[in-house]
Amino acid sequence: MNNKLRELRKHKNLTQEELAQLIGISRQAINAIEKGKFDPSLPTAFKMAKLFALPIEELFIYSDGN
Amino acid sequence: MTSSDVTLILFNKNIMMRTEQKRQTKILSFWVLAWVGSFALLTFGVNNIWQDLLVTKIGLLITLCAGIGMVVANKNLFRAYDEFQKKIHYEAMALTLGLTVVIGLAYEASFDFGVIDAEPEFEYLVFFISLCYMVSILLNSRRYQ
Repeated sequence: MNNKLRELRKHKNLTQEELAQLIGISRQAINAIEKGKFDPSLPTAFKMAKLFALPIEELFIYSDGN
Repeated sequence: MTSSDVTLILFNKNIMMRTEQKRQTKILSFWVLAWVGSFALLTFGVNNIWQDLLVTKIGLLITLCAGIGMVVANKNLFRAYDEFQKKIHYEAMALTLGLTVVIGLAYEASFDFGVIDAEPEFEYLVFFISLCYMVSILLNSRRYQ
């Protein structure tokens, strides 16, 4: 799953650590999500969408790998 | 509710979550020390301090209780992990379990069939599980970096 997390985080001038504290997951998790290596759970995705005041589908873009 | 209200609520909740993780880590450390300490004292004491079977039984009971405390503390710490940390640990557990069964049985069979001379001991299994789990967590953590 692709996402716009890195650009939105930078737009808000947040570090990975600060975003991790706001969302309630580890900095390593934020890093893995930004790199597309880890897909967050639905509650975490909703928290992120709420934080950036965006619909969830604008933050995460589903791709089936084809 | 404004965006800054949401930010503040999330921040407060998450500070609590991280504090809980640190608290559970300290509790686990205490129980690990209690278990290792009581086990070491029991092993040393049986041969060097006392010969009374009743004292040995009490020592065993204390070690068992400390061990149960350690298992419960470990479970509580696991619940305080975030989803990413849980994923890393789940994968490490799966790998460790699989390798322990496969390697453990192969080792046992090798001894039974006379391929090797060293008899399998339970201590080897504990050592193998610990090593395998630590290496799996390290490799998984690096894989997701």
